Amino acid sequence: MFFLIDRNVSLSYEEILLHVNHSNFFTDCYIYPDIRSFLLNWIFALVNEKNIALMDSDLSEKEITSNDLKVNRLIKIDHPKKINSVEELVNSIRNSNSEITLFTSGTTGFTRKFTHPLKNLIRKINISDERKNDVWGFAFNPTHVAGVQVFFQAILNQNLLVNVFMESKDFVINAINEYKITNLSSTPTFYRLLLPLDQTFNSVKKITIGGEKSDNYLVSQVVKYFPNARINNVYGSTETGPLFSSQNDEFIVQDKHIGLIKVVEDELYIHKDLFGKTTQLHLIDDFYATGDLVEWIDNEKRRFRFTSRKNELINVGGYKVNPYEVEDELTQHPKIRNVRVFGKPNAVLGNVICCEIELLPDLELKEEEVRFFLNGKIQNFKIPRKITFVEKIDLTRTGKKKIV
Amino acid sequence: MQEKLLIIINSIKRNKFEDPISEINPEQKLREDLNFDSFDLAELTVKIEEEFGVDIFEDGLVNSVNEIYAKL
Repeated sequence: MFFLIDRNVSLSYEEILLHVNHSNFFTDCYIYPDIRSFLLNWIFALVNEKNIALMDSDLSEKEITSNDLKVNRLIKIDHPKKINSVEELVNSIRNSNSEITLFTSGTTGFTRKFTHPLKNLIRKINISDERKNDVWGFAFNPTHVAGVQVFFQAILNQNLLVNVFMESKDFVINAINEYKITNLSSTPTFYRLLLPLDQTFNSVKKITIGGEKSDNYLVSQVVKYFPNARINNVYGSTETGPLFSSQNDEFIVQDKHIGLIKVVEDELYIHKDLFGKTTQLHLIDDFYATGDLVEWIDNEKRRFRFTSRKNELINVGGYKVNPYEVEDELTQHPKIRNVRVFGKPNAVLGNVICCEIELLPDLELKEEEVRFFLNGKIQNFKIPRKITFVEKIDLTRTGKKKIV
Repeated sequence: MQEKLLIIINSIKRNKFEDPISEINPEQKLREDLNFDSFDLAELTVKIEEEFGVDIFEDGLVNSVNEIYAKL
């Protein structure tokens, strides 16, 4: 029974048992050569209740020293736990008292670490017989909060993970067909890069979108090619762990969360009771200011939608421009595959709106056509004044668009 | 240079669905004669900077084609 397929490498549940039962060493801060070694090291630490930091394999020297990390040291476990069956393995992971340290993805180029008790990270995981046969397209970085969710969801249900993170469109399509992938979880950027498709995928029954702001247009496109899939939008962060989920871009404040969520000057504040023990966060009256801007959809203030990140609004001649709004409009253009909208300092307006556009293969588009397309759809001050066409939009380690 | 500047000015005009102009002369005022608003001026600076590597508004406002020439 396989747990992981990663290109030509695989890892079975039996091999995991062998590793767990025959190892004495692990590394609490591991710069990993491949995902198989990364997962084996992690599982061994979990089974033996050891704390571990999930590190990106490409962290820079500066990021390592500024976070005071001791990497790749071997730690001996004198009497490692012996595990007899896959069920026992799953249970010992599920009940582990390990603490897990994650690093913020650094869309702004600044990495910080946050430590969570395992229980905090797996509180949203569903374990049931129905999920026994799920096959996951692993489309997140395994070291980040969303990838961690997929890892636990898969291993605790004894599922197969097929690694498609940062792989090409054709690779992902082949993987879905070959392994009959049932669950996909990734960022809006991942789905945007996958679309449009020339076939539908009936094997996929659940699609999770998270990590960046999503939009209803994207969801409507995804539904078209994955007709059997239930769409789930999730919200969480490295700082807080997983928090909310919804069927579209609206999130609903559940009864049990009333009083634990508030909105101050459009910014979402989360009470500490919602994300468990943490010592690293700066709290204001027990609330954590997320930096995510939301708007209420109803008067009762029970339904909200994410609009932007607080520090990402661009000031253009005194107007505030939400880059996501402009991106949402542009991605609806039939020739555009992916876009990034950002501000560039400018002597006349303070900032000028710029955008980079990645076109679908073999298509051409002119600057004035883009301007014509946006004209009347968004206000004049939001329209990008510098439009560049690029081969590829750069992605961060977590598969999100880099913020310039 | 004159030709390149004309191309840039006309690209901004096209972007706002105005007719291109056939020539520029030094006396033309950016706002009054070319009908540029502050957003168009920002676009102009970005495009000139891209083409000539000079930020024409860096040390004060520029009002006419002649003043652009002076900066370049």
